[in-house]
Amino acid sequence: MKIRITMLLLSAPLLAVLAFAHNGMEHVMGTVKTISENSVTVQTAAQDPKIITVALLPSTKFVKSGGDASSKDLKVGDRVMVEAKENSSNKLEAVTVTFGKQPPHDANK
Amino acid sequence: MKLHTKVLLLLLAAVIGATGYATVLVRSGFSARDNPSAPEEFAARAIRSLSIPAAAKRAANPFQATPEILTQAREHFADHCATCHANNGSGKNEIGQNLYPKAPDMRLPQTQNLTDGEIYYIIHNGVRLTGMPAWGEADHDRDSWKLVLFIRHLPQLTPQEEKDMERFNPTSEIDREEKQQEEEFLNGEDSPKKKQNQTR
Repeated sequence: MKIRITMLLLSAPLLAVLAFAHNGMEHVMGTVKTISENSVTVQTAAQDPKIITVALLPSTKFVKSGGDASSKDLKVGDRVMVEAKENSSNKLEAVTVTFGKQPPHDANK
Repeated sequence: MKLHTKVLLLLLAAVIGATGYATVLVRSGFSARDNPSAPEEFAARAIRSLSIPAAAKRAANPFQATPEILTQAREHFADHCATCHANNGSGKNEIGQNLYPKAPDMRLPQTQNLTDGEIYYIIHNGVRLTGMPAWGEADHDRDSWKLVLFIRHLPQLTPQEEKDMERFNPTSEIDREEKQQEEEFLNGEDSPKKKQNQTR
């Protein structure tokens, strides 16, 4: 019995794999309502739209139509998909801001 | 003092020391967020090294690092290894950093200074009591030798190669569906549509 319990405890890290399907990232998809140097406000595309503000950091990556871009390329009204992480104050911080027409990709992957 | 008395006292001191260390270890908990202590890391590395037979350490890689083989290995790594080790081998992702011990940065000397045979042996046999499983079948493990070549290439991995690996990272059907919805939204569709599940 003790052996079984020990094995169960040791196998626990494998179960953790299931909990990180999104790698700890929040996805915010919607239309840019306002943009400043430090943040972008997005109205989500859900059936029940919400206004969500995401902080922009110096490390935030901007990707327009599959290529590198900067915050200056982003305009009010643009459709965006923001990958963000929650900081210790429960505020969202943008890791990647993707916008513009998307290049075609391999449907198998 | 007689010799056997000295030996007994030494053994007693060793038992008391080990008991004290074990008590501190247990009392401090078994969180996977911790880093192994220096003695634990030293002991684990030493035991791992001793457990690899000398002939296995000296084994030569049957493959050469041609562009074709490196591409194969890179795609294999992205599909099988990057979940814990990250595409660039840094181990800096959510799973790699929450394992005990944490996934190592394989670009650093601690990994790069191992012999090809040692790296192959670790991939092929895994490492007990860590997150590292054994890979490949017992007598058919060409892919692991190719992975050794890719691990050697990690310090020179280009941003383009790292980006390309994302195509081969494992994703669930839900992730793929979500990505498709996001792309359709960014391409101007009115609202994200829920796709029918094709496999059920």
